[in-house]
This record gives sequence, C-alpha cells and structure tokens, in this order.
Amino acid sequence: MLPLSAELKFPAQPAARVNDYGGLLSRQEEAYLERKLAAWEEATSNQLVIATFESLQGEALNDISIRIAEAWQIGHAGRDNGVLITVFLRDRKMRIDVGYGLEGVIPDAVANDIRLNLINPHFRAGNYFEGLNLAADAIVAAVGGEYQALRQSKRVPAQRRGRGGGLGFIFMLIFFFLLFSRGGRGGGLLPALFFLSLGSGMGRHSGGFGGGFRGGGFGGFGGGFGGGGSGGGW
Amino acid sequence: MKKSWIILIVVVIVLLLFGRWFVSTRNSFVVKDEAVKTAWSQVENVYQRRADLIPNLVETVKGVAGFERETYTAVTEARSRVNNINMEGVLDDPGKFQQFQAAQGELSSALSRLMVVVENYPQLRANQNFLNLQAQLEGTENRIAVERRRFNESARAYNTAIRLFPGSIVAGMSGFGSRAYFEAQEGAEEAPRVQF
Repeated sequence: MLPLSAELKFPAQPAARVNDYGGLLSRQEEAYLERKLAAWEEATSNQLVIATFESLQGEALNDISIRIAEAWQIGHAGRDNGVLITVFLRDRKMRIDVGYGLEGVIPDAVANDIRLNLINPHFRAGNYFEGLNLAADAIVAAVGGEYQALRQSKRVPAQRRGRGGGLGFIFMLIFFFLLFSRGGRGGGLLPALFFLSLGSGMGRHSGGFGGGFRGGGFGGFGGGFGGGGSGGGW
Repeated sequence: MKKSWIILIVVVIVLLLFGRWFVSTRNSFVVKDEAVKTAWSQVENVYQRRADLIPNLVETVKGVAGFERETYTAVTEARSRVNNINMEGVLDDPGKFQQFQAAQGELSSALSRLMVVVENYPQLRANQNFLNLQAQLEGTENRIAVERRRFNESARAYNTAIRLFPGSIVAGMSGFGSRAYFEAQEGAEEAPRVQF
C-alpha cells in the first residue's frame, strides 16, 4: 500500500470505487459491485466507495474512516454526495460514512439499520459480498432521486494560482520609476504604497480539487463529510 | 544630486517591499483566523445538535426506566449547565474555552453513564424510538469528535503561522493572539456505545 502520509497509513486516492485491499471479495464480485456503483454514479453523480482492509493498524475506526473519506475526496464539492463503506477484517469492524449532502436521506438511524440488519448478519457468516451488495442496494434505495447526473461542463479544471500580484508589482515599480524620472513630486508615495499593498492581496485563490474522470475509473470531487453514518463491530 | 536620488529610490523600494510583505502576512493571518472561526461555529453546531437530542432521549428513558432518576437528572443538569455558558468571546478567552470544554465533557460522561445504565432494560432495546435516538446520539458524538479535530487543525495552522518568525512581528503589532485547543478526553474518540 502506498502510504498517504506519515500519520495516515492508508492508500492515497484509488482509481476504483471498490477497493478490496483486505481480500474479502472474488474478482467477479469486485467487478460486479464496481459496475453497479459506476452506473449509479453515472446516473446520479452520487459516489459510493467501498474499501476493505486487513486491519485498523491500531487506528480508531471512526477517526480513520472519515480521514480516508476526506483524503479520497468522495462526492462532489457543493453536493457533498459521497458515501464510504470501510471494512477492517481482523478487527471485525466496519463503518458507513455519509457525506453532508446525503445525511438527510441516510440519517444515522438508517445507516445504523443497514449496518445491523443487512451487513452484520452476512459478515458474521463470512458472506462479505452479500453484505456489501445488500448495503449498496439499500443505500441506492434510500438516496432515491436525491441528486441528478452532472453535466459534463460542470467539471471545471482546478484553478491555478494567479500571478497577477507579481505582475502588478512590477508594473507599479515601472510606474514609479517613470514618475521619478519625470520629476514627479513625492506626494505620490503614500497612495502608491497603498495600491501596492492592495495588489498583494490578489491572486491568492489557490486551487479547487484535483479530481477528474480517469477512463471510467474513480475520481473524487471534494465532497465533504461531517462524521454522519454508523460504525461498529459485527 | 544624482546619488541622493538613487538612495531615495532604494529606500522607497525597501519600504514598499516591507509594506507589501506586512500587509500580505497580516492578510494571511486574517484568512487563517477566519478558518478557525468557521471551524468553531461547526463545533458549536454539533454540540447544539447533541443538546437538542437530550430532552427526547431522557423522556424515552424515563418512560421505561423511571427509577434511574439519578442518572437521567445528571444528564439534564449537565445539559442546562452547558446551555447556561455565556459563549460571548469564548474563542478569545482561554479560561472560558476551558470552562466550555469542561461543561461539555461533564455532559459527555453523564450521557455515557446513562447509556450504560439503560443496557439493563430489554424493553428499551425493543423500542424503535430509543434505538433511533441511540443511533443519532452515536452519530452526533462522532460529529463532535470530527469537528473538534478540524477545529484543532485550523487552530494549529493559525497558531503556528502567528508564532513563526518573522510573521510573529506582524502578529504582535496587529494584536493576533493564539487560539486554545481542545484536549483529548478519555474515551472521547469513541462514541458511547451500547452493545445489544
């Protein structure tokens, strides 16, 4: 696994919606779920991502799952319509994290219900695919028509940091030299200082999110999570 | 004559560069401080969300486990203490911040005691209303943990920025004070959980 950072010992944003790092699913099962989730995203823009891991690596379930959700940027910025299911095999713990935008249609009680009644019984029996598949269906059903597909044009490239400030400064300098060489009076100093200072505040809006479609694969679009959902042992 | 012109221009340029640096540094502190305030309002929101859950929760428990009076009045009392805190300027006053944190901590432990006690009541386990409230409480405790972490992250970014030299000069001149953190509480990472 690629470490995301020193403190987060989990992989950086993957290229798929179903990521079976824990080896719980067969290749066919993984592909089946992936197709289902891709089709749902295509139709509604909602992103459901499943990630299984061997263990929590000593992390707290609630903490690590939302940090993965944040790092993978699941859901669309503004809609916050992402859901993340994380499974930690050896710890026998799993969690459903629900993005801000879906908390209304998947309140904690519903997420809890899905976990206790659909996932846990199958997980206890070792039928991980069955549990995840039913949970995915239940989430799709609960969300219903909450969001529609996005138009292609909505995906704007991440903004680059403006360079206006630097250029403005150079222009100001030239202006100043001109002023002085023409023998202008010193009275221009303070206003110029003011304008210059103003210029420094501009061009400071650094980028949006780096996500994008990668040949039908997964890309996060900066959806927000606030800790809603449900998690626990099975 | 010519030499003094050059000196003047150099001085002016140095002043300009300094002014530009000062203003942009100060602006970056303002941006970071705003992020702290935004994170703080989120913290207040999720604590309020928890406070809003409590009357309903206490009513439900009362109906089934009426003689656990001590436990649920402790929750009600802790909640009213939390509600009575004057939140004015809590971010600027470390003492007040501490007080807020302590009061919320008391409410947390009163709540988890309540949730442990109700484990003894099978009627509650079958009560759908209670189960929903329990799921909401767990979710809200988790939201609190999330927003506290985010607040701490933004406060740390801000505090580091205003303390680092040479930005610390700007911070000192413009009156930017450091922000307090939430301390980790025992068992605060994990929501109180009742296993049925």
